[in-house]
Amino acid sequence: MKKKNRFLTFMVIFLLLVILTGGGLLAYKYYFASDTSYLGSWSREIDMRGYVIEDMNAWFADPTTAANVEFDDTKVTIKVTLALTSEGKFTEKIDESSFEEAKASASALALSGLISFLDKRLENAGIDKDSADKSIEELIEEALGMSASDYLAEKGPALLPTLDALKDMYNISGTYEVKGNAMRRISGGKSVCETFFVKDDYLIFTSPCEDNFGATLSAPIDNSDTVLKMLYDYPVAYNKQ
Amino acid sequence: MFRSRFISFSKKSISVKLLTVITCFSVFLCCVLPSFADDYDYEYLRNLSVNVEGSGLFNVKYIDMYYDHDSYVSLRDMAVALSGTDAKFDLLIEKDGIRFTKGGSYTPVGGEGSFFSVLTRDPSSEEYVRKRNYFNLDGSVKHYYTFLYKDEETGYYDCYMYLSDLILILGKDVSYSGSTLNIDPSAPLSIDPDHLEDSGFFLATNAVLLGDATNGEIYYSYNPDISVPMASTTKLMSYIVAMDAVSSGSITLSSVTETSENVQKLSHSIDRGFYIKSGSKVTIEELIYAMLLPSNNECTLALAEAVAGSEEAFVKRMNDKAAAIGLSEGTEFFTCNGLPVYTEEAFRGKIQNHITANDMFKLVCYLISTYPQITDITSTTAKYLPSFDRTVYNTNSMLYNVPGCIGLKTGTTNKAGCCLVSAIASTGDNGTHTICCIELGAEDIVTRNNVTQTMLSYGDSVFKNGGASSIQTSEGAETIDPEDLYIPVTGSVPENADELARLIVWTAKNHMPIPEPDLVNIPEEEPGD
Repeated sequence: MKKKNRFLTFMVIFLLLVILTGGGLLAYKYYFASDTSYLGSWSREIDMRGYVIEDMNAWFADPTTAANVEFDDTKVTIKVTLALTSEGKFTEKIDESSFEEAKASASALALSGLISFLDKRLENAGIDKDSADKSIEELIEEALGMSASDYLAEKGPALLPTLDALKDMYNISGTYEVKGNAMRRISGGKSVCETFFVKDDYLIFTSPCEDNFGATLSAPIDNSDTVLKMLYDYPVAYNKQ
Repeated sequence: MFRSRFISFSKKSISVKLLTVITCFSVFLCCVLPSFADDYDYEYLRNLSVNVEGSGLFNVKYIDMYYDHDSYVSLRDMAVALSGTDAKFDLLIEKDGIRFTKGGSYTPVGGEGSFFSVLTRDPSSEEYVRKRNYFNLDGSVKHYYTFLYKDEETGYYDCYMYLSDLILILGKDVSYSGSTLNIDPSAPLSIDPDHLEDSGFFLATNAVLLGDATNGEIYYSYNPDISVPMASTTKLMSYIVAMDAVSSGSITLSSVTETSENVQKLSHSIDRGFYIKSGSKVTIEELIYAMLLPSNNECTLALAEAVAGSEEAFVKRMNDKAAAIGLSEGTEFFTCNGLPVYTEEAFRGKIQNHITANDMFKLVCYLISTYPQITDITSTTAKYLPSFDRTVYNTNSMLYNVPGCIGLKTGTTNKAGCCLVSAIASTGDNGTHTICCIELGAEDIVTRNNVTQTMLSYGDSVFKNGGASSIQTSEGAETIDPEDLYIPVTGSVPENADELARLIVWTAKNHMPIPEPDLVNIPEEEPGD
């Protein structure tokens, strides 16, 4: 009997300790320990097709023909990287190698539009391209003594913003702080607070913070002159690098 | 002895003296008598019966200028006749100008509808003088050739306006039945060039062509292929040659040139615009404005010398350009400015630049597509030229009288008559196109203006109704493809997509595959044929 009571007592104490430990751990995790899965390097892609198509259509300046100009489905994207360190610093910047690739893609996309535009003009002039013995690129080569791509590079519109302009737009660095699922980034006297979550290999910013989240962080929410404007629409997803 | 000679009353001396007196008196009678004869003048004062549909008959006084039916009608009488109808208008007539308000209600001042009792005018009267008078037409400044006549009884001025001009202003259907003029205020004006031609409307003109210079559609033509002198409308080709030089980079619009002795000499001649001293410095752009607005001949010569070194070399470029554009042999240039010159022969001939209406239309189509900025210049009514410290004015009165007029060039010589190449910007469902009227060799300015205004009004309505396809009778109508007028400039790289497209179309057309000959139906040769 005495042995049995001692066993029961030890079991109760043991279970109590397990529950207390588990509860303590849960309490710690909830109140004190933070999710740092957002730390590390991330990237996203900016679609630049719209820039190219808009510039080419303005260059055509022919509302009748240009309305029917078709561009192929070449993708034109530029990569932007985001690094979040454990010291509370962040850096967002243009990936310069992706800019060079984007330039080549933009030229290819513009060329497809130019071919389509000249196609329409030949059609308007009553020339059936199928019965002509030269392709449009060959005609351009013959008429100008240079390739269509070279002509576009020399006389065509600027298809993309310059690298310096993109850097001015997208390169930001500063400090950040996280409270729960809210992250505030501060750079150059301006700040932005956004709600976010991390899922698998994605860091997703879902929306700007509501005021109460912002109020609990160290930097107060001021008027719009101090808001750091981010060049994307919510939600925006970054990929783990 | 001396005294006896003069007081001699011999039979012989009396006969001689009497014969001398009779002869002198006869001569005197022959000189003086005709001045007492009736002097019939063609500027007759007449009374016209006007039937206004829905209102009745009215008397309208009118003046026949030089011939019967060359009619200028009383605006006050017409205002009363049309009062209360859809064609009513208000008038304020003063010696310095006329204010004409369509849709306004006219208040009679007395004398309207009365009859001319005296049917010939006093030739010495200053009142019956046709002049170019200022009009304020619904707030827009216009100029019309009209008579102003002051009624001594009422003290008010009346204005006599060319009937065609009034019809175009009112925009209502008008016709003659017998000697009565019929006006239907509810029916819009409908112009039928074929009917006009049948009724002799174009007989006082050498050639007329109306078309869409943007897409090459010809709406109407009269004698389009006869070659006639072109006078200063030449300067449109001069502009093309000058701008080719600007495009190739050999000169710029801001380049400064010095005028030559030839220019000074021309500025002293009867064909001068204003005096220019040799060695005067002036920009190419200023010379272009002086050439196109007041049609200055010496500035055109200065431009030619600046572009090509000499007028002879410039004229060669003009003829080369005409061939490149595809103008016919009916077009040839001898001078840069349209002035006549004499041939270098023992029996000298006086020759002038000449062109056909068809060729002029091709030239305008090429000009509008290649150098559309010309209309910025030709639509300007006045321009200050700093190098000459003077303001020059546009000679084209259509800028005032025709809504949407954007140019282009007048031209007048004794042989060429009154020429006018005019254009309006017409906006319809197909966008905005340039409608062009070419008139060569009108007998006088009034005829020139009347024909051009009528045709431009017609052209505007044709374009707004859908273009040449909307014309019911368009047999034989040609279309000039503007792409056919493109001539690539050797060595130049197109600056924009449109220029590139024209070049590619031209290149493709010159490299279409030549089809293989059909060998099937060639007959076999018989021996001995």
